[in-house]
Amino acid sequence: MRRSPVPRPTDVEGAIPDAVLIDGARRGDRAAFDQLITRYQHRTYRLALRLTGNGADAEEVTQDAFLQVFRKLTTFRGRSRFSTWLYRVVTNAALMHRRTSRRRPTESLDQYLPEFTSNGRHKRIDIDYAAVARVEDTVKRSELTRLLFQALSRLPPGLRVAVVLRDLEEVPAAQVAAILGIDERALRQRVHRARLMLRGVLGSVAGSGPR
Amino acid sequence: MTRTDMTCRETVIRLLDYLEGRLQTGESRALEDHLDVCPRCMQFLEAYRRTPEIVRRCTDAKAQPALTKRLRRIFAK
Repeated sequence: MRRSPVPRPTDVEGAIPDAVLIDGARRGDRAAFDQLITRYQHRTYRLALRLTGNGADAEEVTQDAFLQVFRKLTTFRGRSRFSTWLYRVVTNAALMHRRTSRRRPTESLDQYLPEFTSNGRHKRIDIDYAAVARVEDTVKRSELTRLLFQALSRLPPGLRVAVVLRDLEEVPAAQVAAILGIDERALRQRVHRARLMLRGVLGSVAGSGPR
Repeated sequence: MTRTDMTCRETVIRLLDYLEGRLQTGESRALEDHLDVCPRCMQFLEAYRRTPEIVRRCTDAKAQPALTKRLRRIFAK
């Protein structure tokens, strides 16, 4: 019996479930695959960019990820959400890309972690922690963007992936933990440490010193 | 932990759990009591809380049309 093609796109995102589009793409329905691309291309590219730090690498990673997804559609069983699977593919592709890339910033962001005295008080009393809240008003957007992508690149891979997926892509903690193969407590520790470093970077950019 | 015991270091360690509502009641109160007497930690908390949204805004991006075209060609392979 002939199966009808996947319905045309509607104005409401998600009106056609991913499972229907995936099934269509598996059967050779080009429109179904195109709809998957339309639905996920921007978040895939954005995730790749946040993980790799530059546009050229992000485009390669995005292409690699979609190619992998297309080739493995028949093996996707629907036990997890399609988005979880896609994020896992993009994350692994980005990490693999960095391993083979010559671009490898090595300077640590540990200097941006807060320091404390022996009795547990903030060590640097000259730092204005409130400056972070004003940083978008005081620093040119293009410079802030450049510095933040640089900072993300300098995070250790485990911290970078955790904070990008959880804090920036706002993927639920349970999904991120599943993608990374760690428990949620370990995820929170990584996110916390990465966020402390990024806060420190923002503080430094805002002119309040590295800590 | 008594209400006046929490140090700045102990406060910072607990920030994510505090913001996500994961601290036990007593710990949460001890942290808030510390914030009441430590303006530096209050500012640090606000900066820490705002960091994800600032980084998210500044690193937002969209795929360009040329990339979309290349992705659509994948189906033809």
